[in-house]
Amino acid sequence: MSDTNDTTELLQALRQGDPGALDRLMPEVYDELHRIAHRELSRQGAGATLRTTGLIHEAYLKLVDQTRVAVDDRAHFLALAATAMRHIVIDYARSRATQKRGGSWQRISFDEALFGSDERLTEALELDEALTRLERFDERLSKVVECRYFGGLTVDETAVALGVGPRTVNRAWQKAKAWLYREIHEA
Amino acid sequence: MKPSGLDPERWRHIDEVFDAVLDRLPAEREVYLEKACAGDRELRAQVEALLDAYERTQGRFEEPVSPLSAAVVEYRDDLPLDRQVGPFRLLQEIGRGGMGVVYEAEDTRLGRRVALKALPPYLGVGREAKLRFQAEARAVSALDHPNIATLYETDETEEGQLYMVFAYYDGETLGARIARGPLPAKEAIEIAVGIAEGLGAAHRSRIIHRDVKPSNVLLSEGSGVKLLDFGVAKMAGDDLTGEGVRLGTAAYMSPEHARGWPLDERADLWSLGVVLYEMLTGARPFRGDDPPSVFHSILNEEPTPPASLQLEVPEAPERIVEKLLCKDPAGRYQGTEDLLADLRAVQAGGPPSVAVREPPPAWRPRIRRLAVLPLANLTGNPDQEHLVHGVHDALIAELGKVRALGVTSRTSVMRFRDTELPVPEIAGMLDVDAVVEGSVSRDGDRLAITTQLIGASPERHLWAETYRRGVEGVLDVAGQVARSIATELEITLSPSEGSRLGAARSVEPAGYEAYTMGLLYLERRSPEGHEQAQKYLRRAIELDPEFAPAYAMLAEAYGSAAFFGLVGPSDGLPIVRSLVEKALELDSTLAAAHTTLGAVRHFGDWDWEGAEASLRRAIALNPSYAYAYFMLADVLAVQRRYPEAMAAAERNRELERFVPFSAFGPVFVLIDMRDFDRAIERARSALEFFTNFWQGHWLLAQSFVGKGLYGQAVVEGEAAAERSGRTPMALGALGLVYALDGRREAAMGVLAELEGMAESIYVGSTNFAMIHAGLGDHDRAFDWLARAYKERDMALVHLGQDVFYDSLRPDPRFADLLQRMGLDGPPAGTG
Repeated sequence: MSDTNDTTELLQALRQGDPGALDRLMPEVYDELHRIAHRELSRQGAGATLRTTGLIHEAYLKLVDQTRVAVDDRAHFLALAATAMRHIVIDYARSRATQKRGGSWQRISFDEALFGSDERLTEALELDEALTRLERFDERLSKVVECRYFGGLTVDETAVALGVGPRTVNRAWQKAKAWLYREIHEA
Repeated sequence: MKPSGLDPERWRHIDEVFDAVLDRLPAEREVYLEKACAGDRELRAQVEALLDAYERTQGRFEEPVSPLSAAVVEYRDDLPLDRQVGPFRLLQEIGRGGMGVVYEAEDTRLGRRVALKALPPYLGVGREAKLRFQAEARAVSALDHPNIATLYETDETEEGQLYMVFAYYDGETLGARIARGPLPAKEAIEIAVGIAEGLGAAHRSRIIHRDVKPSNVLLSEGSGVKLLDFGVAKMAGDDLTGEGVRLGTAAYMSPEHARGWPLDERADLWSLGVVLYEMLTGARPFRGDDPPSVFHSILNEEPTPPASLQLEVPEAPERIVEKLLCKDPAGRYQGTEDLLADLRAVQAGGPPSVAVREPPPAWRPRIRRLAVLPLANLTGNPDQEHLVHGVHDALIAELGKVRALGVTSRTSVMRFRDTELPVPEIAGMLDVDAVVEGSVSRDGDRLAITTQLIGASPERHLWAETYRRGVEGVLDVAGQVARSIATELEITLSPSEGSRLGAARSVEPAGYEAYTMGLLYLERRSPEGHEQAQKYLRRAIELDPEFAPAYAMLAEAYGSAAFFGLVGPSDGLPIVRSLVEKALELDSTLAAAHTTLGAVRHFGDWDWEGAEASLRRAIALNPSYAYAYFMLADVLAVQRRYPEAMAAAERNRELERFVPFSAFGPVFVLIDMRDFDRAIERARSALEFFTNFWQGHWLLAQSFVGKGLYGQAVVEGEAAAERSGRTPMALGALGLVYALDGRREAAMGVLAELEGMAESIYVGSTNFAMIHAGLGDHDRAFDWLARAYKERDMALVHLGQDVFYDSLRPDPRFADLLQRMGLDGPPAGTG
């Protein structure tokens, strides 16, 4: 069972600049997002679409002791959860790609319609790689993409998560997309 | 060239120009670029490429990956039968449940048959989860008992999906057996013995099964009962938020498990009780259409006695089931040994120890006093603080309507706003049995309001719920919370309580926001705060003219402005009265409005009987509304009904122990009673806590005047004047004590100071009257009292006992004044 206090304390440690806190927080958040997503899915049935942002908010409510949390902690959490969500998606996309190459080890019976198509999968993988390069270039732009695309956060939520204004988020989002587009499509 | 191939320094330059280009209208961009790039063709090419990409990506990636994440977690726990998993070859599927799919398989290394259980893929995610799983698996594989299925090993597939390998047993599960109908008592007892033996062995190794149910009990041919899936529930990390729990699992959960409390061995005994019940009757004792309703049944309902479902069930096993299904773990068998002794006694034809009914022990400490702690603002926006306050206020108001509950006032709990104190400590300071905690966050245009009830001793979570509603539904949510908590605490609501809690109307969002802003400002208790509060409350009324609490709150704002001397009572009270009447016309159940009406009748009408009726009505409507008790104490004290007044003041103090006025409430009454020694003692002890509460010194000054100790009265009078920022009420007392102490010049100085103040602000006439009385100028004193009478100076209501006027008492004019006010009769202790 996830320990509310642990997460809350880790967030506080993070706020106070403890670099180790992030490494310990990430698996917690990753696990919790997975659990909630799974629960929602088993409740709603196959074919359900989940609002990523909903998962993140729920994980937050579950993991963080609401009475002891600072506004900054919530911001950190949102940003962190978007990163965790990125890992979840990419881990999955990679394992799917492996399965495809490896043949019929695991019966692939998930609903293709849920996905749209494998295009989304490829898109996510390409994007992730490009994003990793963008990170080295301009961390803020890459964070915005993580929050918006992987975390499903709104512009306002992203602004909270990154501690900037919504206008800055909007502009960064537009620029990051242009950068990524070129990164992916140019030779 | 890909942008990542650029030099970062170069990129920053490109980015700058790109930013500037985006700031310009498309038509201006060309000209700008020409100028900004100044011949740097590569720069220009880069920016143009970005601009092109920018246009192409409009609308791209806008959809977040959520559908993708749905696919991520849609798990398939099946493994294909034609495949080899490690050294195991899968032969056929033999069962599936919430915790995975079980296959019959062959261990190709040893040529033996095994049962392989593939766990849902999501369980293995994360390194920590895997470590947890391995640790638990090691403990379980060490269990060696004939009634426990042997766990050979655990491992993961190449893709990271965890699986467990058990010994293979021929036979069927108890679930399949029960599906064919109830079992004869003798057979049911025999199986229960087997389960209890297996559980006993595990419990001795400190392993709790956590998921005892018929599908986890194998009736193997030849080798008896085998318990499956030890500790699997724990390895899976116990997700107990309700919705994720399958019905088949929920039905067997103990009350403590359903509540999410820590489990011990006795939780397994409960589950065994459910299994035994089901074996005997073919039916489950706790049922429902979904896990939440099953949980409700587990927590609140007593099962139908087995014998009334199945006539052949003898009495002895029924008693055993009854004891196993005691909602309080302390009332169950305390270990498998005790249970086995009874099961064996029944097998031998003897009576079990439980043949004689024992009354169930009282379990939960009664919870009747609650505090709703300030809610956390998780909207991410400090500007939403007023809404969070509003929700908090509504929760307190609604819970206060439950008569059986004592709910600490809002002012008292506000000091715990940013505290990190543990719940038991907060509860101790507030003297409550439990606290309600929660938060408010934004979920789109809705509010997500989470609430949880936490018992203080021992600290434990009793109830939690999240509500998602628009602002208009805030009051309704608060009503629902109050009803749920009442149910949780086994409080039966009277029909009138029930209807009051159900009566919340939806509010007009903008009006409600203005109302909560008013609330926020009113709490500052400062002249500027009052002004802002009045502004917002008037706005709230404008936006939602039918919203009664806004009128009541505005009345309170004007009323306290009058009380703090910000306006004269003759100006303030008529407004207060009309507002409060309007509030009550819209909603006659508002305790705050009745209380304010009581105050108007007390200070403005000198109608003690009417005031008392209003205040008692407020208390009937909301027994936790602290301010009503404070006012009632004053009304009763004026009528010299001291024991009742003290009781009301003490009650108010209990409800608001961190509000200074309330802490000093009993002192007000003691001074009226002329019990100065106790008044001094109580005032001094309250001052230790509220060191800056100037009225504390003001009360001490009165007490010393009463005792004739004028020197000490001066010390306190000066302290009161300084700490109050020289407000008229403190200065009146100061002038008087100077005069009594023989310092006429100082007294005259204060008199002059007050006269100067009266040119710009309201100064109550009693303040002048008392100084003249102290200076021995009775004519002037009576002139001022006549003015006070005319303007209904609020301090006048205590004239009957007020020590400050003792020098005037022998004068017939004083008796006349008292008579006109309806206060005639000798003060207590003097006549």
